[in-house]
Amino acid sequence: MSSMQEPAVKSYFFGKGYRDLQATIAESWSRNLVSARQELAAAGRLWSGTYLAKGGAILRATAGLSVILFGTAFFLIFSTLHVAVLLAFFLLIYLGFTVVYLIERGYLAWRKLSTVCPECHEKSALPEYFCPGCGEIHRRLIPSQYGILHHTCSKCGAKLPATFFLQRGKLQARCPNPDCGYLLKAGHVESRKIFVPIFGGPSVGKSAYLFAAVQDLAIEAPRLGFGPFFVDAHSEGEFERARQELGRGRPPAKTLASLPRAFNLELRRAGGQGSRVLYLYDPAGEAFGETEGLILHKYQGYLSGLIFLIDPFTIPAVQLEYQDRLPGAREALKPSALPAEDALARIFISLEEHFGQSKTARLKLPVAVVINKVDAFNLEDRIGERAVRTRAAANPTTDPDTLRDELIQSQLVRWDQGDLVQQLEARCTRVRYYTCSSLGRMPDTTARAFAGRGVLEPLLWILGAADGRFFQGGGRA
Amino acid sequence: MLQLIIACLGLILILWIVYMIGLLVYHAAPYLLSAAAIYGAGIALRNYGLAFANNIKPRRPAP
Repeated sequence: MSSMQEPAVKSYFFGKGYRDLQATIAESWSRNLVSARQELAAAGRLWSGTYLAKGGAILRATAGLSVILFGTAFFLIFSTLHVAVLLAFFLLIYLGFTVVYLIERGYLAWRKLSTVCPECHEKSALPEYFCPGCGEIHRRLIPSQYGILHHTCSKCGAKLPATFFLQRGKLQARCPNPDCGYLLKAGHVESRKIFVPIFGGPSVGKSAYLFAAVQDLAIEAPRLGFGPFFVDAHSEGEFERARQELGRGRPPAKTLASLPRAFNLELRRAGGQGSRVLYLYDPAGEAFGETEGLILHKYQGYLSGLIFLIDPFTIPAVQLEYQDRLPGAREALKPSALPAEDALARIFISLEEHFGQSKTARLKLPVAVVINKVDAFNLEDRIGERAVRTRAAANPTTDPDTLRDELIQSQLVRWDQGDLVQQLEARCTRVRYYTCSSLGRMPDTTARAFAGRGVLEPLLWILGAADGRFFQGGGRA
Repeated sequence: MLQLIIACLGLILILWIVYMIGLLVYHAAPYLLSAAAIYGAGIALRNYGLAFANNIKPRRPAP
């Protein structure tokens, strides 16, 4: 309820009513003075006449004085009444819009509905709305002195809904960040959201993972009871390009933007039981090369979960194990140059220094640690799903998810990544380990389509852990 | 003698008339003054009413 001037017509009882009262008082006084002067002038003229005329003069003078006297009395009485009426309506309207505003804010908070810009990552309580009639920007389209339920545009007279309950979200909105102003779609505004970044060093396969996971999600969604929808044309175009590239056996182009634009996908529950808008982030791996690289990634302030992608071929022990075959496959594997431990350390430092994470507290959000590129050599047999199934067959009473966690953890420790595992276990309350192949096979010169494997499970687990009621049965708990 | 009597009666009549006029003025003056005051009050009321009608426009201005 700021005092910023809105291009809307203010309620009569919040401004014009008092100006009208002032004008009424001024005009009535001016009229009273004119009337009094007329009476006194007439009295002056009569005074020089006969006695009878003198009597008349006295009466006219009395009338003149009466105008002043009663004018003052009426001004005091009526002005007091007028102010009382204005104040009564003022308070009534103030109470009305405060109640509606608080109900709206309470409802939005209860339903966890917020506005998040996919471009600059600004999370705001309210976006700026465009008037559908003239395009004027309404910065505070909320129940206020400009109207409890509607605002009237002062430029074109159009009525704009001023509350969530009247479908305000259907208006075209833009990001309130003055440096951004990105045009927001309905899904970006007042919807329930889940924010999942895919973190990892350069060339760990984040982009391929993102598109493979979205592709699998689109295929699996109906079985899980969702309908997937693109929120904006940008995400749809990006996905379509990546899908075509993957279909032609070409890995997605390297992400250049250190500060990524969110990839949005809306998942709607069948039967109109609500929806969730996914915000998936794929920052360039170079952002993890230095501590300052993640400062601008504001989405870290409101994460729902985190997918930490590891390229096993950055691990010296793995390089040593496959030293005989690695040189021939280096071009296809493109091993990441940044050790996973360094990338993870920079994520923690960024969260601690810029996003309020305590150095001693543990991250409460679910973290999926995903070892990518397990299609290479015999990694699938060692730590992939085949290895998990073999273990599960030998331990039928143990939960396969626990077996998978143990298998991957122990293998990481054997690969001298004990510090990484320790850091994850010590700093995060909910960690799960997965393996995947975001391309499904080693890249080669053929045009055979890539089809990711094991990419959906980590995402579904994050979604289930972040919003279990909506995604119930969607992934491991 | 008759003339003196007539003069006295005339004087008494004049004094009586003056007295009656004085009495009338004495009794009527407050009413007259009140009427003048009410007239003035009416003008003041009319002035406030006209000013109110001219200035109070609760409808929103056309954009």
